[in-house]
Amino acid sequence: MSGVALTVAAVEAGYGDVQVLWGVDLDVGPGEIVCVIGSNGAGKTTLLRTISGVVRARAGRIAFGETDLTAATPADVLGAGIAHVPEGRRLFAAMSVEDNLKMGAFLRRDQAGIREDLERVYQYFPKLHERRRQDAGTLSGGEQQMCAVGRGIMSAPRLLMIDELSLGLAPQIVEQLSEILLRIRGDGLSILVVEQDVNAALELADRGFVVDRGRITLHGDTETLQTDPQVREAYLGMA
Amino acid sequence: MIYLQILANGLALGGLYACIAVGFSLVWGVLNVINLLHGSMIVLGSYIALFAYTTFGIHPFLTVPIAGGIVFALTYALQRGIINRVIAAPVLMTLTLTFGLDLIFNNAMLTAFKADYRKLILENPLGSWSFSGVTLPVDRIAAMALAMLLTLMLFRLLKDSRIGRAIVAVRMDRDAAALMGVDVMKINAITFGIGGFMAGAAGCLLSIIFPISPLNSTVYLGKSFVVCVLGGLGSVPGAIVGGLALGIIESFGAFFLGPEHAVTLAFSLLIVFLIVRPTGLLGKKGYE
Amino acid sequence: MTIQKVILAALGAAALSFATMGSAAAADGVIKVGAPLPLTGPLSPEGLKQKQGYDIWAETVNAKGGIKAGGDTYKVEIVYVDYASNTPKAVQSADRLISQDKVNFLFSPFGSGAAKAAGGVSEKYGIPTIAATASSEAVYNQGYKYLFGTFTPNRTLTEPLADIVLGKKPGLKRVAILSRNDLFPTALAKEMAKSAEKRGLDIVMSEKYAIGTMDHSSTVTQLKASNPEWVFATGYINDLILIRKQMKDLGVGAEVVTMIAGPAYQEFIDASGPLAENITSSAWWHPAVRYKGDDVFGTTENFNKLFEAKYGAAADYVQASAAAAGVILQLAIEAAGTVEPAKVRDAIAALDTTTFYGPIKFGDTGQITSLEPPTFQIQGSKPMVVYPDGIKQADINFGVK
Repeated sequence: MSGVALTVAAVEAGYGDVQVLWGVDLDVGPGEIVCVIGSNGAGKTTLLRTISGVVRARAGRIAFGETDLTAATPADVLGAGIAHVPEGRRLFAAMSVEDNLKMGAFLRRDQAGIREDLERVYQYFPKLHERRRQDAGTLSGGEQQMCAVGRGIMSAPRLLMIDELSLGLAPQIVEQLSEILLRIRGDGLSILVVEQDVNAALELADRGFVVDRGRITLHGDTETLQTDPQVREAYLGMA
Repeated sequence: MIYLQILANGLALGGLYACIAVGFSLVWGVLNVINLLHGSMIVLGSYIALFAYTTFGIHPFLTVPIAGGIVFALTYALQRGIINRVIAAPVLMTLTLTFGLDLIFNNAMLTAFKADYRKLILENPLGSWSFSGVTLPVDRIAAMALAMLLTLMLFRLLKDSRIGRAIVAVRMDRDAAALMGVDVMKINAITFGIGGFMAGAAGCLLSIIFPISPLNSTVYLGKSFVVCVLGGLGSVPGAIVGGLALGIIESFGAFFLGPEHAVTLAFSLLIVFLIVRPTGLLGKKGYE
Repeated sequence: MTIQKVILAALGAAALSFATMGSAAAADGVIKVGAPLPLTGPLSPEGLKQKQGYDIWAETVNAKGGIKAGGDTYKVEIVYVDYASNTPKAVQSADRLISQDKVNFLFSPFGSGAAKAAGGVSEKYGIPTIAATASSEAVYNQGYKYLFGTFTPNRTLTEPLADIVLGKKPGLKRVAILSRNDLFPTALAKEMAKSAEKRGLDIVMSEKYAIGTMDHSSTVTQLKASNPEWVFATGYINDLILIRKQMKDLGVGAEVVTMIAGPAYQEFIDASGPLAENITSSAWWHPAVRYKGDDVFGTTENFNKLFEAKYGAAADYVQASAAAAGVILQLAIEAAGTVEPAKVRDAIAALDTTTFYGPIKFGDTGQITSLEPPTFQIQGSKPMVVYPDGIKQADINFGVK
C-alpha cells in the first residue's frame, strides 16, 4: 500500500455562469474504495472532472499526498497518479482494444512496465485479451466498461476514479466488475467510484459520500450509510 | 494494347495524386480543418526542390526530407500560432481562415518567384522503360514509387507509433484523449505539420514532372478534394484508393471523351459521389 | 455647405472632366501608348517579348528626336499594365488604360483570344489599336474600324508548309492534329485540317487539350496509337515544350513534327535540348529576311543589330512584330500630320509601304495582307529558314524520334 491520500477541501467549481459545486470536502485513503452517490445533476461528474483537471476549481484545495493539484492540468493529474475513467466509457471506437489500452499508457516511457501492465489488465479481464484486435466500438457494454477501466489502469495510477461504473449494464455484469475492482484494490490501487446504483455502490465501497445539489450532505462508512434512514428513504426507496 | 498504356498512365499519375492528397485528407479527417493552404504548400515544396537542384545540384528525390521538413516547420508554426485559436470553431471558420492565409501566402510566392512556369530539367534524364507495348518514363515511375513509399510510411506512423495513436485518438474523442494526458493543442499542430510535410514532399517529387508555378496550387488543391471524396476522409488507404481511382478515371476519360474534358469529368464524379456515397469508397465509421 | 451646393460642385467637376475626357490631348509633347501584357503567368514568355519589341522601338524613336506630326514633335511613352495571363483582366486593363490613364493609342494584349476580347474596348472609345500578336481571322471579323493586326491569317502558315512537305514526300498520308483549346491554336488547327484535306491527306487524330493542362499522357498515348507520319501541334511555348517531352517519354516519333508557336523562340530550343532537332514551324517573320524601308530602323539588318546590342540575343517574330506595330503607328501619325485618333486611324488603313518587318498593307478587315511568312526547321539547335526560296537557308530534314 503506497500511503498517499486524496484530499478535497472546500472545493467550488462550475461551468461558466453556472456553479455546480458549493464547497465539497472529500478524502480517499490509500487502499480504500470510496463511493460518491447522489441523484442526477447533484454534481458527481463535475466533482470527478474537477479533481482530474478538466474543470478548474474556483475555490478550495485538491491534494494528492504532498502534491497540490488544485490548478493542475489533466496531464499533471495523470502524472501525479490519478486516472479518470470517464462517464460513458469514451473509448476510441475505431481503434482496437489493445490500442485503446496502449493509449492509457500515453504518458509513460517505460516499455517494459507498459508491457507488464498490459499483461496484468488481460489477466483481470480475459475477455479483453480475446478481443484485443477488435475495434473497441464492437464490444458489448460490459466489455467496453472493462476496456475503459483497463485503459485507466494502464497509466499506472495509485488512485482510479470511475464515473458511473454501472451505467447501462446488467446487474450480473456489474457484480462481475465489482469483484474485479476488489481484486484491483487488493493489488494496491485506491478507487473512487461515482455511482447511480446506490445499492451496488454501498456494497462495493468501504466509505461513501452523499452529494446533494453540490454539497456533501452525509458521509461515513458504507455499513452505517446503508442503515441510515435518510439514505434509505431518499436513495434506496425504502421506508 | 492501348488500354494497357492508358491504365499504366493512370496508375502512375494516380500514385502521385495519392501522395498529393494524403496530407490534406489527414488534416481534414483528423482535425476537421479543410486546409486551403495545401496546394500552395505543394508548390513551395517544388520550388525548394528547384532551388536545391539549380544552386547545389541536389537531386529532387534527395531533397524530399528537406522540403518536407521546411514545410512541416512552417505549417506547425502556422497552426500553433494562428489556426489553433479557432480550431474548435465550425469548419466554415477554419475554411475562411485558411483561405485568407493562402491568399497571402500564394501572393507572396508570386511576388518572390514570379508566375512564370519553371521547369526542373535534370542533367541526366532517366529515359523510358518499354515492356509489352507499354512505355513509361522512368522519372514518373520513380516519383510514384517514392510517393507510395512515403504514403505507406505515414500509414505505419499512424498505426503503430505512440504519436500516431494519439493523433487518431484526438480525432475520435478529444476530451477522452486529454484525459490520457495528450496535449491536444500540440497534437493538432503536429498533425497539421505532418500534412505540411507530405505536401512539401509531394511537391518535391512533382517538380521533375509538372511545371512549377504558384498558379498550380489550385490544381493540386482541386485534385486533393476529389481524391478525398472518392476515397474517404482521414485514412491513408482512402487516399491511396482515391488517388489511383482518380488517375485511372482521368486517363480513360481523356481517352474516350477528349483531353479537354478530363478535368470536368473528375469534378462531375466528385458531385456524384457526394450525393451517392459521401463517405467515399473506403469511408470508415468514426471518420465522417 | 448645403447639400445643394455640394451636388452642384460635384456636377460641375464632372462636367469639367467630361469636357477634357474626349481627346487625351498629347498637350505636353508626349504620345502615350497603352500596352496591357501578360508579364507574369503562363504566357509571360510571350508577353515579355512583346514588351522588348515595344521598348526598342520607343527607345530608337526617342533617340532620334521623337515623332513629328504637323509641326510638333512628340516623345513616345509606353504605359504597361500586367494582366497576369488572365484574359478578362486583359480587357479590364485595356479599358483602364484608355479611360483612366488617357493613352492616345493602344497596343493589343497578347494572342488572338485576348486581342479579340479587348478589340471591343478600342472600338468603343475610338482609339487606334494595333495587335502585334493576333493572327486568327476571327479577331478581325467584328467589323471594328479601329483594330489593325501585323500577322497575316493562319492559312499563310500552313499552306506553304504543306507544299514543302508533300513536295519532298509525296507519299505522306497520315496527319495528327493536336491543339490547345484556345482561340489562335484552334483556328490554326482548323487551317491545317483544311490544308490537309485539300491535299487528300488522312487526319488520323484531331484533339484539343484544355488550357492549363500539366499532363499530356492521354493525348500523347492516343497520338502514338494513331501512328501518324506528320504531327501538327499548336499551343503556346509551355504547352509545346511539355508535349515534346512527353512524346519522347512515351516513344512517339514521326516523319514531320510541326509545332506552332514556340520553336521560333530560343527558350524552346534551350528547354528542349536535343528534343528540338528537326522540329518544323512557321512564323510571320524571321531574322533572316531582308527588307528595306522608310521606318526608323531602315533595314532588317539594322533592326537585328540594334536588338542584339540591347538584349544580347537575336530577335524572333514576336519582338519584331511588336516593334513593327510601333513603326506602323509612327508612319501613320507622320502621314496624317496629327495625333487625332480618327485621322491616324485612316492613315493606318491607307498605308502601302515597306519596313524592316516587311511590306505593310492592310486588308478591309484591318488585318495585314502583305506578308510572306517564312517556314523554318530547327537544325543543330538553330532555326533555319526553308521557305521562301528568296531567303532559304537550308533544306527540310525528315524524321523526328
